[in-house]
Formats: sequence, C-alpha cells, structure tokens
Amino acid sequence: MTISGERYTISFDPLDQQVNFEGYVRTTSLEDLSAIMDYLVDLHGRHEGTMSLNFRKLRYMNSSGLKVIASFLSFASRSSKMRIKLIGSKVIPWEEKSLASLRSLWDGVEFMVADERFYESQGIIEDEAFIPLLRNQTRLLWPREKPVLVEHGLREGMRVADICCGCGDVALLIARELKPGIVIGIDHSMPAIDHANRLQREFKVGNAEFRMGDATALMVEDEVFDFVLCRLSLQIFSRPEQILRELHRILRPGGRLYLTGEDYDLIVGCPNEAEIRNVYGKAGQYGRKIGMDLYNGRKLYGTLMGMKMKNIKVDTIDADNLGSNRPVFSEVIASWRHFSAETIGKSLAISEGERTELLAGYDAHLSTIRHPHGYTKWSVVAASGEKPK
Amino acid sequence: MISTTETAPSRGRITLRLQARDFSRDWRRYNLVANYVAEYTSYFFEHKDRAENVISSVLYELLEYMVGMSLDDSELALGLITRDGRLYFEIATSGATREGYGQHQELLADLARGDLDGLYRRMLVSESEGQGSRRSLGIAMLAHDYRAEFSTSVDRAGAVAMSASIGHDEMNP
Repeated sequence: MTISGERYTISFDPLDQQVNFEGYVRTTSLEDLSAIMDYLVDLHGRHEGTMSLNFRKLRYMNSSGLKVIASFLSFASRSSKMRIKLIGSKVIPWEEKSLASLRSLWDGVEFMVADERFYESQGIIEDEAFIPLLRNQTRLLWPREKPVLVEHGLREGMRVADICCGCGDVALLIARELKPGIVIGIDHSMPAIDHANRLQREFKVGNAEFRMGDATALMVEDEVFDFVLCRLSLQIFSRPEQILRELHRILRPGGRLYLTGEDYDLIVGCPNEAEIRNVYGKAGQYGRKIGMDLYNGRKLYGTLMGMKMKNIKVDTIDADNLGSNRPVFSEVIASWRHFSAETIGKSLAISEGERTELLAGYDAHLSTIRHPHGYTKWSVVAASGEKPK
Repeated sequence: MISTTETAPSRGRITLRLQARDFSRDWRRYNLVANYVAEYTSYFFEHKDRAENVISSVLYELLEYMVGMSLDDSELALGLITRDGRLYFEIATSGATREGYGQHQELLADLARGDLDGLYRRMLVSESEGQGSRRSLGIAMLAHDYRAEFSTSVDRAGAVAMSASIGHDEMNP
C-alpha cells in the first residue's frame, strides 16, 4: 500500500512493519497532510507490536509534515497500542535535529539513527586515522587496478559512482586518468569526505564530486550510473546485501557493477612462509570478531551471479614486492600491523601474548619484503557484472 | 521576479526580490527557492551537502512564514550573509496584513519568554488548523531544533523585516 504526492512516496513494508518515506514532504496542502495522517492511523489500527517510520530517504520535511508526524505520535502514545520507532540518518541534518526532538517529547517513541552503528568496525573505519592506510593501499594497487577497470568496461564519458569511496583517492585518479563524464564519490565518513573534497579542490578536478551518504540508503535516483564501483568495502559490513541492493538500483540497465574484495588466503610470501600464513590467518579471525569478512574476494563471483548479473568477469589485482615500489609495500604492511595489533587488538582486548605474536608475524612479512631473495604478493579479487537490460 | 547578486566583501551574499503572490499561486515555489538559495550558498561551507540541507530547511520555513503574513501584492526581499560565525537570513515584506503582523509579534514574545521545549510541544500537538499557527510552528521549530535566533523590525508603512541566524556549527559539526 503506497500513497504519493508531488515529490514524495510513502509505502508500507509489512515484513518489517515499516513505513518508508522517500523524497520531499514539503506540502502545505491540507488534503495531502490529512492523507498522510489517515494512512498512518490506518496502519496503526491494523498492526500490533512495533511500527517503524523510516525517514532515511526523505531529503526534506517541512514543519507542516512534522506536525502530522507529531500528531500521529501523540495519537499512538494516547492509544498505547504500539511502540513507534523513528528511523533517521546521520547524513541528513534535519532528521538528526527534528526527529531527535520529536522523540524527546513522547514516551514510548524510540529514535534510532540507522547508520550510527550499522557495522561493528564503523568507529575504526570511519576515523581519520584510517586515511593513511587507505592512501597507501591505493598507491600500491592503482597501477595494477587501472587496466583492470578498463578491462571491466570503465570508459571515457561514463557516469561513474564510487560507493564507499573512502578518502576519494581512487575516484580522483579515475576522474583524472580515465576521463569519465563524472565520478560521484559517496562515503559515510565525514573525515574521509572532507579529505576527498580538499584534494578535489587542490587538484582542480572538475569531473568529480564527493558527498556523505549512507550506502544502504543512497539519496540517488534509480538507474543513473553507467559504472558503479564498491571497492574493498563489502567485506566490512555484516549485511552487505543491503548495500548491494542499492548498488544495483542506481546502475542503469546495461551498466556494470564492479566489486573488489580481500582474500587473506591470497597473501603469500617466502621466506617466512609459515609466519606470513599464520599472521593473516589470525588477522582474518580477529576481523570476523568485529564483523569483517576478509575472505570475501572469493565470494564476489557468487554474489554477482546471485544478483543475476550478466557477462561476469573476475580478475585478481596482484601487488608484489618485485613489480611494486618496495617502500610503499612496506608502508602498507606496517599500516596493517598497526591497525591489526593496535587498533583492532585494543578493540577486542587481545592478550599481550596475542599482540606480540601478531606484531612478530607482520614483522616477518616486512622482512620478506626487504629480503634480497624474498618474494611476497598481495592479491585482491576484482569482479564485475552487467545489469541485464 | 528573481534577481541575484553577489557583493564583496560580505561572504556568501545572495539577494533575491520576490512577489508574495507568486507563492500564494503555487506553493511549490517555496521548495524551488529554498533549494536554489541553499545550493548556491552551500558552496561557501566545508560540508556542502550538510549546509545545503540545513539552509534549505531553514529558508523554506522563513519564506512560508513571511509570505503568510504578507499582503498579496507585497514584495519580499531576501538576503543571506555569513558574519561572525553565523549565517543570517534577512527577509522582509513590503506589506504585512494586520492579523499576520499581530501573530508575528505574539510569536516573538512567546519565544522570548523561554521554555522553548514547552512552547514547541504545545504547538506540535495543538489541534488548531489555522494557517497562522501552522506557520508559527515553523519558526518555533527553527528556534528549537536549529537554535535559530530572531530579531524583527517594522516601519510605519507596514513593512516588516525579520532576521534569523543560525551558528555555522549547525552546518559544520
């Protein structure tokens, strides 16, 4: 059951007993406002338990619309029949302000910022301290990933979206070197987007834009991009299907969805073979404990098949210490060492013994990189598929 | 009629002159003007998207409020300027209705009395369907949710000017 107005759609999802608001509720028409109230009251009358009002895709609501919501909350509070949960997003300021204050006015109303703690490692990944690690990884991967992107169909003039773009380095490199019409980079981390915007201004890149957004509820119209990327990100979410649904939605039929993922079994080296395997095995286990899947690279083909994508291509992006800049490779491993043993280690409160073992494992990998006869390789899986027309 | 100018040295200045009757004839113009000015002004802020959403939300309510108290043939002047860490929305009508102006004075007095939580809640749950009370709710919302500060002036010819300001921290958290 759906109602709609000039710029909004309100629909009910019976699976979650959730009312989804999309677009703009900025009407002054009493007829429209009454229709919204009647719709909510009717749903309230026909259900039990908890009802959610989800505003994550509602860009604006005027005070007249807010009054309707307030009147409904007042009605629901008086009837004491159902609990009402308001769901907003951190990236839409009016929701943070006005929905939070509505919650404080009535008992039995819960306000949840859906994207505040929507994956376990969010505090770590979205912190400014994570940016140097992202940058070093890009330094290492970009020379090898650029031809893979071309092979997977990224062409000059395309409309490209980089969802979970982090600090924007890859989006900016794509904009400058592969000349798409536009690259829109979206990430949920404010420090990362600030960084991306600073670089975009500094390098005067006219065909790139960055904005904060929630990858599970993108404020982007359907089917507007020719090429959608989501790099090294699905692995950090406990419910990647919510992001995949959005990536599919914004991709035009005939366009390509490009995903990359880690696979810690693909990090190898010699000498110190056993230490290297051991440390990434441990790191993978710790990753699982904070909701990350550091083996999701091998699953990407199946993911694209499951989405019924066509013409699926899979490649590995291989960075090794022979073909890459060794100091940069070392920097990446040093960043992982710190991230794993210090940041994740602290978050999981690992023992001193476990910490020492992790540090020793990464140190062994670093010595392999520097060893005159040493060889090591980090492979990332890249997979893409075409959305059927 | 819309004209825009940007004048140095005031950072982020945009000025519009608009006809009240255009909004009465089609309310969708509130959204259009609020979004246009918000997008224009947002480029002056580091967090552009956030600034755009906040500015549009504030301006929409101010426009609706000011048009609501205006005579149909009056002209509105609108200006935005950043000063001392605040964004000022300056909006004036060349002619207010007697009733509209009375409600305006009453609202500002209510806001000045304090207990903003109580006032806002009463307005939110009020059964009154009058246009005046609906418009006043928008201003109370700005004061409550956006910590907006207001000042107003009126001249003998019935022109009413209002200044609303919000801290830059509303846009740059």
